[in-house]
Order: sequence, then structure tokens, then C-alpha cells
Amino acid sequence: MIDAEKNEFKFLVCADCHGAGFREGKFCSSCKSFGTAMIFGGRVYYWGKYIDESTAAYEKLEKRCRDVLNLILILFGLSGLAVLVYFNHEDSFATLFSLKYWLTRSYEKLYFWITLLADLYLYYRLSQETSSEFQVARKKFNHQDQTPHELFTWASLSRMKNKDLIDVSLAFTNEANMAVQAAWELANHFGHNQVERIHFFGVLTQFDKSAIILARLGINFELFKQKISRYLTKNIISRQGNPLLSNDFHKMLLSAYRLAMIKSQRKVELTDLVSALAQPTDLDIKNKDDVQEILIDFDLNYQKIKNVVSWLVIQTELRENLSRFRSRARYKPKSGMDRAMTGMSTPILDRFSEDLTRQAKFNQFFPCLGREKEFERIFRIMEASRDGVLLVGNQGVGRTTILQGLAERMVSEDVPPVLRDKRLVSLNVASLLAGADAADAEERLLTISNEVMLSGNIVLAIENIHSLTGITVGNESSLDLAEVLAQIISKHLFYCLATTSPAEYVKALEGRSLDASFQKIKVEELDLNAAICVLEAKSGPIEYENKVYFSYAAIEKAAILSARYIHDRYLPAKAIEILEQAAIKVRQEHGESQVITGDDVAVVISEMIKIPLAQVTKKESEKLLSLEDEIHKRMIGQEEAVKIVASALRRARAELREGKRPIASMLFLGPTGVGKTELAKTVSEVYFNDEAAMIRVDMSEYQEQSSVSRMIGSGSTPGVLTELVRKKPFALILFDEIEKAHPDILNLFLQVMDDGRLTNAQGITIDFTSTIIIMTSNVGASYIQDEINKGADIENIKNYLVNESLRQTFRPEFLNRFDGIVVFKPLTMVEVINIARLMLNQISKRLEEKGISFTATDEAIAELAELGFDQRFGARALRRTVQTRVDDILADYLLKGEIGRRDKVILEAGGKLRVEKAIEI
Amino acid sequence: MVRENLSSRLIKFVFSEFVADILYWPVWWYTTGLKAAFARMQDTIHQGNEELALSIWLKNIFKPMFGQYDWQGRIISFFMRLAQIIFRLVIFLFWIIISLVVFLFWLILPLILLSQVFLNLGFYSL
Repeated sequence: MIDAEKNEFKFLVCADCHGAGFREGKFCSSCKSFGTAMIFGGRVYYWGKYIDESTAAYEKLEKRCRDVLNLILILFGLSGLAVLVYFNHEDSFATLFSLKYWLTRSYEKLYFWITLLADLYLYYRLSQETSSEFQVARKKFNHQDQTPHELFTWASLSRMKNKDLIDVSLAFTNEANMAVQAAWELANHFGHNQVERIHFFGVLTQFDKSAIILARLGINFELFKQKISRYLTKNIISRQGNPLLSNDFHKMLLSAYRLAMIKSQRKVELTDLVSALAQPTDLDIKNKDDVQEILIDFDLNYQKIKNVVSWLVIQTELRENLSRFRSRARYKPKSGMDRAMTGMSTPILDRFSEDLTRQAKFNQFFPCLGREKEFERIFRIMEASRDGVLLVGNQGVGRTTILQGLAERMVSEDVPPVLRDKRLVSLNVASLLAGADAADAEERLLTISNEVMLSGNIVLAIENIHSLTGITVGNESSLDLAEVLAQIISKHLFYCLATTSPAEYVKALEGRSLDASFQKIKVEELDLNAAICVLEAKSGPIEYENKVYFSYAAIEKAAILSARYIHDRYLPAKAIEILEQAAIKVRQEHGESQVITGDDVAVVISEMIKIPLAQVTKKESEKLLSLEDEIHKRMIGQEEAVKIVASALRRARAELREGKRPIASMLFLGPTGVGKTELAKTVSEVYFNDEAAMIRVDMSEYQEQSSVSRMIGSGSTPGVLTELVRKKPFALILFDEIEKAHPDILNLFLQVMDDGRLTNAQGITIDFTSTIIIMTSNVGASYIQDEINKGADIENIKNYLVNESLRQTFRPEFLNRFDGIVVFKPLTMVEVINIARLMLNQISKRLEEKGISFTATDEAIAELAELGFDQRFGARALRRTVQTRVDDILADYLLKGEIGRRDKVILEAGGKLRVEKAIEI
Repeated sequence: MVRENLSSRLIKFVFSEFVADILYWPVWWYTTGLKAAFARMQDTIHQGNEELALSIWLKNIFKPMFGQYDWQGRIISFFMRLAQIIFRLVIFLFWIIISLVVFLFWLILPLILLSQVFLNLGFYSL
């Protein structure tokens, strides 16, 4: 509706005075000094208030005058009564009650009657202050006899009726008026001759309502003021003279009025002005948008301002709804009896249930938001038939909240007639079954339904209805408790609502008789915008409890990041929990009255899922920039491979990657033992802070076609890969020897690498967007070896591999999906020596824990490398050599007790171990 | 937008605040003010119905009370409800009369005051 109305207005800017209303210090006669006007629904709106230094003082004076006059009227009014009392107190007011007294003349009575007239006048004055002249005009709907907006010119102004010329300034609240005045003063202070939108933006910190908006945006006030004043000094050409409201400023004022009118407000609030500021329509294009410049500098935009304003609107609405709810709730009876007194007492039901409407009446529930569609469906089903309503949704999507919301609506009787004057009672299944065998439970259920039926004013709610299934009396052929309930409900004698989760529905209800007596409503997870609305509403209590404030970024991040990274729970519950944790964390770490930023929320989530999400700190950015060195601490050689991997990780951390694909997917090619797996492990440690965050799948186990079902599951058996990733969505997945996998499995990977998701046999979509996928292959290993030996360029080798060797094994679309194909070179002697040194260092570290120091001479290392180096097996052969020539001997020494604490062991050439015994203490 | 100097603004203010305002007062009393008073009366009557639940009792006059669906229950309920409705109707009538009187009072209050003023001024005597 609002969108349609948007097209109906038009701004009219006077060409002679450029929309300011004045030319060379005099009235602009062409536009009646309106300057800029808004044509909307057949009326002309203009800003009729002239502002200069004296305006504020003068307005204050006027207000003072009015107040004084009112005060005089009050005193005068009271004095009449006083006079009457004074003249009549002697005979204890006996004469006052005689008719004769009132029919005779006296001066004191004359005075009294005149003061009463003054009282009426005072009443009139006070009512006038809220009169329509000072309120936002109602929308006008009859458009027949209007001049179309396009034809409207300044000349047609004189033909307009006075009541269709509306001075918007009268309907501005005091605060909004003061903000306009403050903007003028700011312009005057800087010697600007025009008041622009940026001046208004600059004074927002001065007023409570707008300061809240800036604070919610996470703006630091001091910094804001500095930036504004620097901007105003530099970017606006100052010219002396009385500042006039620019035409853009006029448009902002008029737009604010239009917004208030669309929302049927009585007054134009400061927040409407801020909304109008954030919706620049028809700006003078020759000026650049100053406000936007500042916003960009703060990493903000107009949309965010609008979102914060709507947050404030939600909170105001909540307050208004609450007071409306309270006045309506007064009429709802406290007892179980309805107002029509048709109900009867329900002692057994009361024992096993809670009265939701009663709880709602006493304000125990938080309002239910963003579920209009679900309510509409519930009401439609209940009005059309007496079928039960089954809400099917996952834990945390808000099934209970919907029930509570229904109870609230029933309290304020904001429901279809069939639900009016009824109460919503939630059956407590646990206590129904507690301490009772199946027969007792069945009897209880029957008694309860009998009570509900007879009472007639009860809507029964059964949460987690699936827990009633599988409880039978006696032998197997007898009735299940659920069957009993199904029979009762299918009689349609009362309204019933139940909840269950999709999984339980499939397991316990689908196709059974209980299912047949219900109509299903799927309760979906809230979408992002609705979830943000709920968070905005729920942020209030959390803020109050922890004495902290959420910025808009915090709310937004909580919704977006939890939607993206937390998969086993649902919005809005998961995001609310994040906000609670962030609030507690910030309060504990920084104390009260802090603003919670988006980063605080990101930190909480990244602690939970153990991957970095918060903005890159300086320390971390240094680490990221020197990622190659970091990796080389564990990896020797393979410079090219390390570089490709490091840049992929940097892209991921700087959020430059596409959100819908895995963080990185890479194919490592090369002979065995050159460091492919080692690099994968290193990446896992660097990015996920945990070497164990690696899922390793040996593709040689998946050579058959049937292995596809092993990978993604079949029937009720979960798949190996999908289950691992579902449990550990933030992981590096290493597929070893990919060339051995069955081609159908490679087809699965196409989807994973392209869309970042895979659907398992149970129909659950598994998210792969937080994984790093690395596949290794030995294809072309001997070719690489030969070419390197010939001294060929690595780039040429790679090209040949991709175009020839790999083509024979893999389909081109599969190869195309990789972010990088990395060729690992065979190790050179120098690299092998370095690896040997690294391995010995690891031994030394292990021995250090036992208090033994271990070193190796360079000759010994070289000798080990020489012995262990094998072109075919790479570093693996070296590891074996180190094991037999160093570890084994060390073990012997240790077991024989020849090495003790504080001893020094030196490995020398020829594989000899020299022990320098420590001096005994 | 109208630029004025201080003195002309002040004169205008005094005129609108003291002269025009007082002249408009009686007009307001019998137009806008009257409408508001009428709306207030309606609200009050509506609220009375809400408080006394009269329409609910009327709607359910043949429905047995307290789930007593047997014929004895139905008869007793009917007479019980009838008694309740009569009782509530009487209160509601009072309610309506009071709100009506308040509304009428709005109409005649200025006239009473003026007549009393004129009486005490000696324009006429009773």
C-alpha cells in the first residue's frame, strides 16, 4: 500500500529562488515564499516556519505566554470557588443548598459564575493544543476533482483553497522542531548560507531519540562530531548571510511529514525526520550526497539507518500493544469460567494442565512476532471445521511461542468468534503419564476430555503429542493412548491444538489415526528479516537484565552468522542465545553500560564453532600476511603449493570468497611422500586452529558403485561423509587418492564443490560452505618425476597434466571446479636434509619433556638424509630411516637406563649416539 | 515561509491568542467539542456493555449454565440468566442515562453559566 502511495506525490521546486523561498533577502513572489512544496493527494504541503536566531527564543516566549495565561485561568477558576467558600463558611454552607440563594443576585455569585466560564475556556484552550491544526493531516482519498500532479504549477497555488495548503511545521513535535532549529544554528555557526541535510545529520547527537539511533548504529559520538565538523569546514563553501533552508532540506522535512501521514501518526516525530534523511528522494543532483559520504566513512548506509528506525518503531509498538493488551485483558475472567458462564469446573484437567490464557492475562508471555501467516491458517482451520490443528516444526522455531501468542490473542479477544470467550489450556503430558500405568493414564485422558467437552469453553493444547504414542494397556492388541485421543478428537466435540517435530511426526504419527484427525500446519524457521525483527523485540529484556546495549550490527550479525554457521538449531532461538551470551560476556569483560558491537557477537559465535569470524585484528592480519612462513615452519619446500593454499585462506578470511561454495577446493598432484597430506594438516591447524579438524577419506575404499550409498547413506543408515560433515561442519576434508574413486562419487563432488551442499539419503541438506576440500592424486606422478629430472618448468608440467593425463581419469567439468590444481615437486636433497632436521627437532622436543637434551651434528643429519632419501617414496622413506636409526636406539638406551634426566645426547655421523652424563647432584 | 519582524509577529500573536481565540471558543464548543463529547458518550456506553457483559448474557440466554445440559438445568439456567439480564439491564440503563446526562450537560452548560451571569448582573430576575 505504501509503495502505491509513493508514486502519488511530487515535489515542486521554485525555479526563481531555487527552492529556498527567498531571493536576495526578500520574499520570493513566484512561489509565495514556499520555496519547495509537496503535492500529495490534491493538497499542497509546505514548510511555513521561518527560522533565524530569534526563532527559538521567540517560540519559547510564545510558549511561556501561553503557559502563563493558562496558569492565570486556573487560579482564576479556583478563586471563584474560594470566594464562594469564604462567603458561606459562617453558616456551615447551609445557604449554599437552598434554591433561594441561587435565585437571588450577589456579586460573589457573579464572580463565581464568571470563573466557571473561565474554566470552560481553559478546557477549550487545552483541547485546542491537541487540535487537528497541530496534527498531521489525514490522508485524502477522493481524487476526482483534483488537478493532476503533473499539471500543478506555482501559478495554480492561488486557485487552491486555504484548507488545502498545509503548513507541515505546525505538526512537528517540539523535539523535531528543535532539531530543525539546531541544524539551522549549526549552519549559521559555520557561516554557511544554506541549511543542508548534513547539518541536520550533524545535530542528531544532541537529541535523545536520534542519539539512540546513532548509538545503535555503533557510532562513536566524539568521532562523529569531529568528522562532521571537519567535513563542514572543508566541503561546503561558506558564504556569509542568513542561512536559508535548502531545497533538499525542504524535501526532507516534507518527506518526514508524508511518512507520518502514511503511518497515521498525530505528530511528526524526530525519528520520522531521520527516516526521511535516510530516504533521499529527488535530491538536487548537482550536489553530492554529503550524508552518504559520512555514512560510508563509518561503514554504514541508509538501509542500516532505516533498519534501526524500524527497530525503535517495533519497540514503541510493543509498548503501545502492551498497554492496549492490559486494558483488554481486564475483561478476561481470572477463573476458568467464561464470561457467558457456560463452562463448568474441570478439576482433573486443572491438575494435569496449565491455563495459557490465564498466564497470558497476567502478562507472563513475550509477544509473538512474525507469525501472522500461521495464525491466519490456525483460525481458518478452526473456523471451517472442528479438526485439530497440528503444528509441525523443529525445536526452537517457535511452536510454543505460537501457542502463547494464541493465548494472548484470546485474552484480548482478537480472534474469530468461535474462539472468543474461551480459554487455552495446555495439557501436560509428562504429569498425565507420571505415576500411572497405561490404564490409569487412559482413564485420566478420558476424564479430561469429558471435562473439556462438557465445559465447552476450552481449547485444548497438547505439546509434543508424539509422546502419547506407544503407550498401550495390556496385551498388544489393545488400544494405544494415541488411538484413544484420536477417537476423541475425531468426534469434533472441542478444539484441539498440538505440536510435534517433523522427525517425530514421521516416526510416530504419519499415517496413523491420530494424524487423520489433525490438519497439519508446517511451522517453518523464521526468515532472516523476521528473525531480525524478533531479535529487535527481544533485545530489550536482555539489555535490561545485563545493563548493556546492542548495536544494530550485533543484532544483524547474530541472525546472519547463526543462520550461516549453526546448523543443528533454528532461528530465532539460536540467535537469541548468541545475543544473551554476548551480553553476558561483554558485561563480564568490560562492565555495564557498554555497547555490544557486531564483532562481540562474531567472537561469541567463533568461540562456539572454533573458526575465526570476527574482524581481522592487526595481529591476525600480520599472521595472515605471513601465512607462507607460518606454514613453512612445518612444511619444507613446495613453495608454489604453499603459496596457492595461503592465498586461498587469505581470500576466505577477508570474506572475498563466494558464500555458496566451500572455502577452498584444491587438487594436490604429485608422487607419494612429498608433503601433500602434511600441507593439508598444516592448513587445518592454521585455519581451524586444530590439526584434528580434518576429515580424511581414503577413496580407495570407494571404488564400487555401491559406495555412493556408503558415502551419503541409504534408508535409515547415515552416510559416512555426510554424517562426519554434519557433526563437524568446520573442517578440512581430505580425499586421498581421488583417482581410485568410482565416477559416480566424483559426480557427487561436482555438486559439493559448486553449491557447497549435499543432500543425504534422509533428505537432510548438509552444508559444505565452511569446509576446505583437498583431494590428492598420484596421477602423473612418474611423469612429474621424469620431467623435473629433465629440468622442465613446473607450469608446463601442470598444463600437460591437466590437458592430458588428468583428462583420461577425470571429466573436464570436475577439474574445472577446483580453485587450484597444485603440482607437488619431488623432493630435492636439500629439502630432504631440512626435513630430516625437522624430524630430529621433533624427537628433541619429545625428549625435552623427559628432561633430556638431544642434538644432532650436521654430518649426522646429512647422513640420515642420504640414507633415507628415495625418489619413489619421498619423505616417507626418511621417516622410516629416522625411526630405525634414531628412535629405536634411543628407546634401547632409555630402557637400559643409560640415559637419565639432564643428560645430553648427541647424534653423530655413522649413527652413533654419544651421551654426555650430567654431573650428579 | 513567511519572514516577519518581531513586532508584527507579537501583534499577530496577541490577536490570535486573545481576540480570535475567544471568539472561536463558542463555535468550537458547539461543533468540534460537541462531536468529541458525543464520541465520549458512545465510548462510555460501549464500555458499560463490556463491563456488564450484557450482550454476552443476551446471546447465551438459552444456553444452560455450568454445562448443565439436562432439562432441569436448562430451565433453571434460563430463569437465572433472565434474572441476571434484567438486573444487568437496569444497571446498564442507569449507565446510559448518566452518560446521556453528561452529554446533555455539555450542551446546556454554557447556557446555564451565561444565564446565571446575566441573572447576577441584574439583567433579569426570577
